[in-house]
Amino acid sequence: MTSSTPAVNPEVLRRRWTGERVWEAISDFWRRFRKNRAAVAGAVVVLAVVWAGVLAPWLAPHDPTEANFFNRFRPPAWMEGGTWEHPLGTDQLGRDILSRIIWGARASLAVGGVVIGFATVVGVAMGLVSGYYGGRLDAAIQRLVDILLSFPYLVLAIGLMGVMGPGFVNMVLALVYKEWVTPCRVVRGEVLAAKNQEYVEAARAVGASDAHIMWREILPNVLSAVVVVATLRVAWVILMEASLSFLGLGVQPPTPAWGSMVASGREYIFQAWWMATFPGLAILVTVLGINLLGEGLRDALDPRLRE
Amino acid sequence: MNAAQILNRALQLIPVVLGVTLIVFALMHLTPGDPVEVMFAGESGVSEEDLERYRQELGLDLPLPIQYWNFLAGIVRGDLGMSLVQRQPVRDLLLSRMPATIELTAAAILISLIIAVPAGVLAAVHRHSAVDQVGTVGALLGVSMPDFWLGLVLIMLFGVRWGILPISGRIPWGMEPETVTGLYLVDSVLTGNWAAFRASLRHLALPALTLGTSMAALTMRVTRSGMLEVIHQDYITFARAKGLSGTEVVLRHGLRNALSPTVTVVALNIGVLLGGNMIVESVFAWPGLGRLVVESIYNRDYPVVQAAVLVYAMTYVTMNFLADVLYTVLNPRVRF
Repeated sequence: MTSSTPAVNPEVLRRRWTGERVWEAISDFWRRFRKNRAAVAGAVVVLAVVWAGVLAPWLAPHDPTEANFFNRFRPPAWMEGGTWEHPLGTDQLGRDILSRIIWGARASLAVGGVVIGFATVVGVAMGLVSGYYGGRLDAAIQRLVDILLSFPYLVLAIGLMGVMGPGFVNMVLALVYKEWVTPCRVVRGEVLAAKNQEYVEAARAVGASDAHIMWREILPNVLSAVVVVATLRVAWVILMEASLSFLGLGVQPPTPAWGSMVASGREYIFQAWWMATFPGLAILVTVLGINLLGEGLRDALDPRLRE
Repeated sequence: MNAAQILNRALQLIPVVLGVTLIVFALMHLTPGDPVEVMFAGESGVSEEDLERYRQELGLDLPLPIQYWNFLAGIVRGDLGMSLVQRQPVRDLLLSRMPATIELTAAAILISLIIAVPAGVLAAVHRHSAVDQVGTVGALLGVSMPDFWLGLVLIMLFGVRWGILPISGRIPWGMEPETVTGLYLVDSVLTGNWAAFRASLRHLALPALTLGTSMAALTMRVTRSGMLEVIHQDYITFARAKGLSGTEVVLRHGLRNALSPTVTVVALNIGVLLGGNMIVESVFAWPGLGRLVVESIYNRDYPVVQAAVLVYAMTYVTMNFLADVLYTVLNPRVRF
């Protein structure tokens, strides 16, 4: 697209994403975001969890899979019989719960990140195509979306996991299977709104290809919605991962995962309340942090998305 | 919305329902090995010919499109196949577990409404006040909390620590009321069996509280925003100007109009709850559909899993449809 085409409104040119404009948008965003204390707190929590997951081998005081039968069911440090050697106590095999929680961050983050990554790529592509071309292709994609939306989330995931068997790859597949629908619908809606705006019409008038219009003109303008939705959905996917692992269909032992830690704590609920309590708190805090961060991103990036 | 529109909306469901059956059918054919092998896994003295005979009997040797057609025909007849493990019709198995799930779902919805509607209305009326902020934080906590964990925490507090409520099952063995509807609370009232009523109510408390709490978060948000929208309408201002008190205005004019999104969310939630039930029913050993699915997955009883996924999806579709219809009935301005 040449900028000297006389028919193009200067306002339209201003809408194009130049380096300067991106920078302006980022600093604008940052100014709004940091005023939101809840969002900043959420960001700090998320950073801490990512930090814990990445640096687990150095941060965890013990090997998360190392059993010690002389040290089983040790309560948290502040209770009678607890030691600071195991601040949050030990489980039925004498493994250190704090270390397992730190390592467990990896499972949640990996599943959340990979699932949302795949789902976003697939969903954005489908949504762009569906919204941009419309017609039969759109109808077909939207029917598929309707069908997938007819399954309660966990039902479909559990059904798939039950059939395919547990494990990381299967869990990612079982969750992506439906998760792409969310970004797809968001992007499609945004594309429908953007399609008839001046900047798209202008690009079409000067003969830009469909692919160029979709990827270079429309996509940058719907990106903030995609980022917000992806962030909020990570929270949901982590809850789903925890639920599947709780049912024994997700991450398999001895790999530590928060959901399966709660499940094993359930068996010893009468003698060791800490086994189920702390991993569950880790899930709660992480998901809460992501939700706060996501809502903060939404308010700072795109206040229209507010329900 | 008139009858023709409702019918039109219902007709739109047909491709969706067909798609759902196709996915459920495909689910079954993703299984490693076929059902016959699963059925006889670990049994000695079964020859290859026996397996082949069973395959023929179950129609597993037919081409896939024909198998799909038979599957659809079976659904229409109400024949959902045989359970591999329990060796009885899947339909009977599902029906026997249904009342427990319905009872739990109804109780959970009741609890969520008791929490969410007053909280949502208060938060909207006193917008930006401390009440509103507590409500917002509570709702956020509710959405972020894994329900299996909330269930366990309630078990640890009410069951283990204070020992005041039972933590698993529907009723102590041998105390079941005579079966009329299968819903223990209803049956025990109908037969005047108050001991059974008390016992089943006590068993229902924790699972219903767990499900109800996790549902209340969303319901509260919706009620709050519905109420906020109504509060600023002209007729409310007018009613206030007439000299009605704040509470009176809210209760007499606001609530009825504000609650239509809430009703929709409740209808949707009935569908969602069936999915959530799998987790909570497992935590509390509640003998409903959800627990049956999880057990069947552990036992590799695929026909049961398949049928249950189908039932869940159909319930969900139906509830979505009802929610749409309700929403338009309650909001005559909305049109498809």
